[in-house]
Amino acid sequence: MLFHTWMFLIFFVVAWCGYLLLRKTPLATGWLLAASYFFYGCWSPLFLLLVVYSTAVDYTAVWLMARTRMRTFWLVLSLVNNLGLLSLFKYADFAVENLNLLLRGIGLESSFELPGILLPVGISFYTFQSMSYTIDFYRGRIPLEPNLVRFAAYVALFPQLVAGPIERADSLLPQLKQKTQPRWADFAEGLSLFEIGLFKKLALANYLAMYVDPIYADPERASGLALIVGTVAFSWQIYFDFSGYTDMARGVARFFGFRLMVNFRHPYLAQGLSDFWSRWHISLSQWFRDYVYIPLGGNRVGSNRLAFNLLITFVLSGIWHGAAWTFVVWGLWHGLGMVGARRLEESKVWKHVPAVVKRLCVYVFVCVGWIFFRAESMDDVFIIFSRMLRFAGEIQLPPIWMVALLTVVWGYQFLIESRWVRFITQPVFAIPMAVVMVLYLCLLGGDEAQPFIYFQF
Amino acid sequence: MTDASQESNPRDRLSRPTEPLPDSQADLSQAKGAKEWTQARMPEPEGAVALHLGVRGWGVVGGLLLVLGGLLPEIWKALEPLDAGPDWRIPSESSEDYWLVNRWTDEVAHQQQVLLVGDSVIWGEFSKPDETLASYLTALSPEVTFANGGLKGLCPLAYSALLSDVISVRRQTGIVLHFNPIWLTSPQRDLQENRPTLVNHQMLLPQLWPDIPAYQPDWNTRIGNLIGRNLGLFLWARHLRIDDFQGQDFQSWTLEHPARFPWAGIALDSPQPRDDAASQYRPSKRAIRKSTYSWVDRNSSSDGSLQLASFQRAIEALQQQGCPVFCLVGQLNPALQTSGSLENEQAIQQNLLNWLEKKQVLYTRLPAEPQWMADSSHPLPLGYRVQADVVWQDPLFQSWLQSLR
Repeated sequence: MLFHTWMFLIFFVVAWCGYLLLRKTPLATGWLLAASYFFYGCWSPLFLLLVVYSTAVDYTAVWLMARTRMRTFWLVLSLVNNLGLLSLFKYADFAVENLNLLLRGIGLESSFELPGILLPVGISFYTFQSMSYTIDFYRGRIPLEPNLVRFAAYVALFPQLVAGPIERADSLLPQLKQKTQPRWADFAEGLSLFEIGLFKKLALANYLAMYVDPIYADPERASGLALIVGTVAFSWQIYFDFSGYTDMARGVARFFGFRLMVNFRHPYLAQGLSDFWSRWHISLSQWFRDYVYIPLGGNRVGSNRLAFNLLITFVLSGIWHGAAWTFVVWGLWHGLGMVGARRLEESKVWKHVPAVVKRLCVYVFVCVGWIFFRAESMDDVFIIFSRMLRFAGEIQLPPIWMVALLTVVWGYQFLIESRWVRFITQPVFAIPMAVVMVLYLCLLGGDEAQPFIYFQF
Repeated sequence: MTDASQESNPRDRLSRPTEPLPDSQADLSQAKGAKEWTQARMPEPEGAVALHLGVRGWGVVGGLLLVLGGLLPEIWKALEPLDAGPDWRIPSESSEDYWLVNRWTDEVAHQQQVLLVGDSVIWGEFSKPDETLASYLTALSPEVTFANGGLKGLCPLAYSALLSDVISVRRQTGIVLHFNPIWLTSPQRDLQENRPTLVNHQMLLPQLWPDIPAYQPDWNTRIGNLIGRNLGLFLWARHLRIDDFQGQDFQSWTLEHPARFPWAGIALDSPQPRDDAASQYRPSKRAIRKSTYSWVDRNSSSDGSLQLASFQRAIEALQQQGCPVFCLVGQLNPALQTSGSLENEQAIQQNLLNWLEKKQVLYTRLPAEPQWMADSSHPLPLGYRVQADVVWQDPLFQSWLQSLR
């Protein structure tokens, strides 16, 4: 059930009305949990069992941590369980495929059959969210959650269940505990967020996908120029797709009175690579920062170790995105970029570089990374780069309307980070904008319910 | 929901500020300490700030959308004149442009014309616009004009929605509803087979009830169709697609015309039907092979005929709304059927006629002579002329026409 479908609208109305009726009763959290499980069950009732299992194991592990002395043992057990689930469902095919390649490489004829396990939607998100609870409890940062239903609702809260933002227990559990009382202001804010997200998804991301997909489907046939333009278009497609989802998720949660964390903050206006990562998929960046980078020693270590920490963190982040070498290389690209950027950004020269140049440099670097991210295989990556370097060839121009739309949106982002923000947030500007966006979606938006890119992770 | 006199603080209290990667765990606590500083400096959360409207703001937006949603299609009518002459019919490529159908049938009602509703048999597949049943009936009638409301591919299952959601039935002077038995010639045509079948006018099919085994879209499409056919704004958007963007959605159109802005595609002229027939009749030189149709019999089948039941529901709905309705019961070309098949057809038809009589609906059986039939169900122009004569001379039809005055 996608956010931008009529089915979701019906589901949402029922879930929301039910919550409003029950919000002051002990049944409120149970209702939310039931709605969330129904929402997830619409994708696959079987995989819902996985969510329940993961929840039960982590809750039990923390309960045992609180009541026994073997805290580390239960933490490790919980981590092994979560990472084991991820490995089995997400990486089994990838591992077997590479094992077979290795066996062939050393001259062995035997090969293992691919398990062919389907990837449960959102598994990377909810396992990470659940893991953060066990780790935070182990570190003493949060108390034991005595209510299993509340904990289950924390893991499975439907707006953010399938593609984040990856919430933390110290933010979401207190909200669940106090039983949010949605106000009219939350309704208005939720509507604002949802409309922005819907526009990003339907009017921009899906539109860009129509241009990008044919180019990347057959890179051998696409010209170098087409691949360059296609990559630029993809950079915006993935941004609008994922941030659109996040906006809708935050908007839906806001209707219920929940405040989910900000996940994007105009990443293509970043003036440095670390700045980019503090603006792009913030909830995941912070997860890796808190649970991988800092435990490895953070940046209070020698330069070699620091580089190692950064590389490890970003490669793991790449692997988190998908079971393919392209994602590993994408992570490595950003890891290397962070290592290099750290020195560059500390230098005096960089401080004198105009902001627009810095932004352009970061944008180009990120776009190159998107080639690894979008390509179907490493073979395709090599083809794309070799064709790009030749540059020549015919190109199907992106529609002038698409370019105009992107220019307006990009300019708008600039305005939001400038002093003009005071003007464009005024009702005199915001009301016509809201009306135009709704009319645009009704009249000109595509009607295909395309899934979100990040659902595959 | 509790009422809040004050807007929530736009600074998201519980959302995390965006900090650069801190150096260590010690730095993490420092970063926490610096939370307020960071929040003060960083721009507000995206989304909330990109469009920040309060309850009143959204109230204004809702009001404006209601007004614009109603006004825009009306303004469009003024900008895009409908140049429909006496023998005008919905162009075949605009068959599913229900905004145009609604607009035109409104005009028909305004001019006190009698509307003939049906599929390509009424539309005139092998005829020019002035050689259809409606145009011949108009020629015979000194006072009444008959409008061709045939839509290509319109099966009886789509009649109910057409008459309830698209055509403003109450405004109509009178409706002549045609029944084409071709839709009952097989379980496949009756949409009874439990496998997805390509159906025209999917938007007008019953989306929730009754269940149509051959129509298997997802629930999202069903709900979208229900909403789409009931909201004028969506119908108008569909009209723009069909009329101005060659049936594509706007985004696909811009991809095909990358150098053009969307307004370049808008022609501001109503679609005009071609003057010639949609299909050319070519008599077969080979010997005619008679077919035995696997007729769907409403009485012998446990589920009955979906198409026939829908046709009957459409008539009942028209009667309930007080719209004068007359039925034209078609027949298939007898030369293309075996005698057994023909008997089945007649039995089914008799059942229908009995039902019409029971419901006190006036009707005429349309003849079907092999010499003026183009195929199993479509007459040639000569056939329409003969059929028009038969209908015109039927006293029941005349009395029905009298009742309209």
